[in-house]
Amino acid sequence: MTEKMEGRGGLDIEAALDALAEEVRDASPRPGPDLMARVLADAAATAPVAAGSVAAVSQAQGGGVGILDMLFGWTSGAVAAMALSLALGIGIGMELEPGDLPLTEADLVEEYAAAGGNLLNDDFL
Amino acid sequence: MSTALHEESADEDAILLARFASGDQSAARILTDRLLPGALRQAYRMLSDQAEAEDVAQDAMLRLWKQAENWRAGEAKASTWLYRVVHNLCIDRIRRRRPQVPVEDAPEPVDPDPGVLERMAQSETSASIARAIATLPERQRQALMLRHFEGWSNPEIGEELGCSVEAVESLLARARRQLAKLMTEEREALGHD
Repeated sequence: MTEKMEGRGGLDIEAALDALAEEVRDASPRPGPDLMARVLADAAATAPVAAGSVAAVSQAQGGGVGILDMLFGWTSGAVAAMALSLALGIGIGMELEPGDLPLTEADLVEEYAAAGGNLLNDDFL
Repeated sequence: MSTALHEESADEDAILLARFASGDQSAARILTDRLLPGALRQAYRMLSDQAEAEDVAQDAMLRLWKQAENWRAGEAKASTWLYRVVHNLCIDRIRRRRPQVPVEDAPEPVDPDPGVLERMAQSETSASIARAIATLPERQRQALMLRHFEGWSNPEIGEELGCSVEAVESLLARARRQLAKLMTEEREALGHD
C-alpha cells in the first residue's frame, strides 16, 4: 500500500517515514572486521558438524568404505571392527605361553643359544 | 525493497544456506555480508548498546549456521527467521536487565526503548515522527516498523503478526492516519502553518 497521507501542514507521512528509516539506518552501527571475524569463525567451527559436511567428507573418502560399513553404516561398522580386533587380539593372546616371547636381553641371548644348539643337533643328526 | 526483489533475495539465501550445509565456506561469507548488518541494526534499535547488539547478532548468526543443515527452503526465509531470533534474544537480555523480577515471570517489554528512534533521527521532522511512532499502539507500531525499517512485504508482516494481509493494510493505514494527526497537532502547537 502506497497511499499518500499528509498532515494539515502538508507533511507527506510516507516520505517522512522513509526519511526517518534512512537516518536510523545511517546512524546504526555496521559490522566491523572483529564482528565479521567472530561470525565467520563460528561458521567455520559449525560447518564440520553439519550433516551435509559429514556426507561430503564420507563421499570424498569414497573407496575407504568397508564391507561392515556398507552393511551396518559407519558407526556400527566402526564398533564391529573394534570388536573384531579385540577378539583377534584375545585369540592370539591365548595361543601364546608365558616365555614364548623374549622380554629381556638375557632372554634373547638364551633364545639364540637354544636355537644355535638345535641347529647343531640337527646337523649332527 | 520490492516484493519481487525480496522473494528473489530469500531464494538466494536458501541456496546459500544449502551450500553452507554442504561445506562451502564461501557461502557463509556471502550470507554474513547479506544478513549480519540487518541483524546488528535490529539488535541495536532494541538494546541501544553496541557491544550487546554485536553479541546478539553473533549469537543469532551462530544459530543460523547450526540450523543450516535442517533448513527447509520455502518454509521460512532466512531474513525473517533471523529477525525473530534477534528479537527473542534481545527480549531475553532486556528481561535480564531487571533483576528484581524473575526472568520467567517478567512480561515481554512492549517497547524496549521508545526513545531510541528519536535519538537516532538526524532532522527535527524525523525526531518528531519518531516521537509520534513511540505513542502508536503496539501492533500498529510493529507493522509500521517491519514495513518501513525492515522492508518486509505485507504478507510477511501478516505471517509475523499472525493476521491477514488485509488486517496488515488496515494496521498500516491506521498507523499512518494517527501519525499524520499527531504530526499536525505538534506542528500547530509549535506555531507552524
